[in-house]
Amino acid sequence: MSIIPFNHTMAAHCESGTVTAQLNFHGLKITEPLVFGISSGLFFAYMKPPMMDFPMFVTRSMPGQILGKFSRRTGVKFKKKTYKDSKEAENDLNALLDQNIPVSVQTDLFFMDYFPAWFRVHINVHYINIIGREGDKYFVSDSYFPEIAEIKRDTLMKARFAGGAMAPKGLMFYPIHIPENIDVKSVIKKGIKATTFDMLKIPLPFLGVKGIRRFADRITDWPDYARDNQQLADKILRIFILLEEQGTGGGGFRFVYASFLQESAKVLNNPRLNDLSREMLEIGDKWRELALAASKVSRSGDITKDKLAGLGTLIREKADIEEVFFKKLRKEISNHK
Amino acid sequence: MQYFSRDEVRLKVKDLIIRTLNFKNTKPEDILDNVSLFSGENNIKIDSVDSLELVMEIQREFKVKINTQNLAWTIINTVDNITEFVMKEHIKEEA
Repeated sequence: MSIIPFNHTMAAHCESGTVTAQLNFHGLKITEPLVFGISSGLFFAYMKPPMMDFPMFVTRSMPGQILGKFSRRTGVKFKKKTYKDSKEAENDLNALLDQNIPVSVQTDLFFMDYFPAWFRVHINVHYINIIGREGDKYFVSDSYFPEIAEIKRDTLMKARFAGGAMAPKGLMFYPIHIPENIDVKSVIKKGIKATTFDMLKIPLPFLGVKGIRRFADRITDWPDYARDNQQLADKILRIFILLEEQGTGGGGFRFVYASFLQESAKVLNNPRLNDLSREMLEIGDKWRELALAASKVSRSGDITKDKLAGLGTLIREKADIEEVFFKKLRKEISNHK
Repeated sequence: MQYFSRDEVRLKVKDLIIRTLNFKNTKPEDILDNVSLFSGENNIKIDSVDSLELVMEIQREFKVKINTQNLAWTIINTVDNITEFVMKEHIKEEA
């Protein structure tokens, strides 16, 4: 049996958790909230792409951007590779593991059969660390699983080469260079500035706070997209799932961001960021209330326009409080010397 | 802050579960202390939506904060975990 000595920890979110664990393994002591905040992982978008039958929303940046932005801002370099040939992907993975190099890979979460069945849905952007192999199985450090897991070779290959939107294409990555001196203060400020820009200033009506408002305004249109009441109920339940279940750390990533601000307060020696961290915790609780309200509407079986308008009111409240919050945060970080 | 023994907290937790999730025909003694509430092996079964409702109610009732989802899932898993968490948080507060 060959398992690389790897400190397995659970994390709020798979991408930031996987990157953090890799960085820690390679000697950079950093926490998941710092990785998430420095890479400006918090976001909001509400859209109805033409190829999709239903509107969708996200509460974080695009998959892969945490890795990319963290790398750009800190100078940490990662080796990244996608594959057409699954055999080549497997050979490269094995060769790296044999050199005691843990490898991060993108997978379809559905194939992670160490999770209970109810948790396993097709999401093509689940990141895990592979930390060893033996015979036809691999050892996995998955930030959503409490202990080191095992996965069969064939299953892992299916997960790495699943088809569909955002297909993993065998993507693997691992750090190859960590600068000796990272100006943490500077990159924290860059990360915060980028998040406030994303939430307040992108001139598109479906992004940031404007996106939350669009979500609030348009949720009453959802029955027009649904083929029947059951589909509508399922889609409304997805509000709960996207905010609370799918690796957000709870409250649509707001709790992770609160932890980031708390750590930033210490690094920047700015107690005002501590106050803002506490405010963000309250905001996270409000997103949780929305998640719960959505699940109740979904389960009620009788989804009226009034109930959807009620959800719209709750969503609009989040837009209002986040607009105020991010303006305060922008001002605080702009004034910080 | 009012002091409660572990047994008292455990009973309050069970009452809260029954009340919050509306398990009408369940008595506190029916709920097993150290068996997962999610698994179907306890005398009641909850799902992830129920668990969020419990998180919010536990926060309100016991004046504690459960701010990470992984932690929430671990805590809500059994009555004993919830009880231990509440006891620990109150001890921290007292210190």
